[in-house]
Amino acid sequence: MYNWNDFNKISKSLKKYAKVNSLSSEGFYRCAVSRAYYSVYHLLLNYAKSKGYNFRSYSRSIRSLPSAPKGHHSVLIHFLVNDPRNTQPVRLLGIELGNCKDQRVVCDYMNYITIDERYVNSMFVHIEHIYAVFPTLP
Amino acid sequence: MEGINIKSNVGYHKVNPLRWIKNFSTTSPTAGTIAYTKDGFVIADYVADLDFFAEWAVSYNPYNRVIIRRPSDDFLNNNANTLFPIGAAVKVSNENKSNSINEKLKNQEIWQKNFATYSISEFLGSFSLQYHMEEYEKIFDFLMENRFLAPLISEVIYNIENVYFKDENINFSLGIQTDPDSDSESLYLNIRSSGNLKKNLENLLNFQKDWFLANMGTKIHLFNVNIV
Repeated sequence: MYNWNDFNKISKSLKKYAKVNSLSSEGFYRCAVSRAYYSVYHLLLNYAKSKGYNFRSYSRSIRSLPSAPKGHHSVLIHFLVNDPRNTQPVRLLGIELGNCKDQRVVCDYMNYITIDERYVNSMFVHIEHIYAVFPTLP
Repeated sequence: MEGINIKSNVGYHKVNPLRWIKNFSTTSPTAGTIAYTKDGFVIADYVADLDFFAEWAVSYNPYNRVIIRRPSDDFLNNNANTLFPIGAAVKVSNENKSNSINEKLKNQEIWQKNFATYSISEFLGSFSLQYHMEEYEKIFDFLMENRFLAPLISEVIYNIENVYFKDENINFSLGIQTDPDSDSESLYLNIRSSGNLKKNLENLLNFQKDWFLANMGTKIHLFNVNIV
């Protein structure tokens, strides 16, 4: 079974490649942010599943909300932040995953925003924090 | 009439309540009444026809535009017996001084009314005078569909500038993010800072822990605050 944590290492390599491939450095930066996001997405998705999370049933449970969240990523974040069984650290990681998702969406879909090293570093600060807190979760 | 202290982001100001009421006269779409607590903490409603005092802490930004901050539940609970309305609100205030469930429900009702009447264009006009905004029309449409967000954004900005990033040189950027993966849109407020990334994150996490989680938890898919 593939270990999604590998994506975290790969994202760091991609950032290094950006420095030695100046012609396509922004492409590497964008990929670095995207892979880094998926490493923590899968980390927290697996955590949520271990706590009983199921995309379909949770989606159904919140579909009556105004502008209910759609899609696997937003629904997972909503679960982490709002499921009453989750502790505050879990909820806060859910918010932080939302921050990471927003940065990833920019990198994957928006070509009118320049992605530079600082943008990647700001993502990595989030990722490192999530990995630091994760082992302490109940 | 004695003056009262208005807390703003540049300090405290002595203001005559009658003058204030005049400023928010019925000629303005943002007319309202004003009330204050025993300790001089100013509260005011933002809608002319409310028959009950509201708990909106009001301050002025450098452009003399009103900023409304929604008080925390703790503030409402702790101050329910010390809030003194002025003018038309007096009649009903005596019936609502107790910290009862009915009063809390009434507070929620006022909050809902304010969602419905808050001037989105006024908010965006005020915001654009100071900060960066992407695609005004998209933001306007989104806020019209989710009216509760505008006063919350004002509160977010106030808190970030005056509490969580008060020692940092920051700016804000407001925009709509479209997520093609889920075919959905959300509003983002990015804090722009050239400061230390780890310090920035620490400040952001404190804000999320103290304020954002309590106020935006169930609406997390509609609005997020990040630092770039």
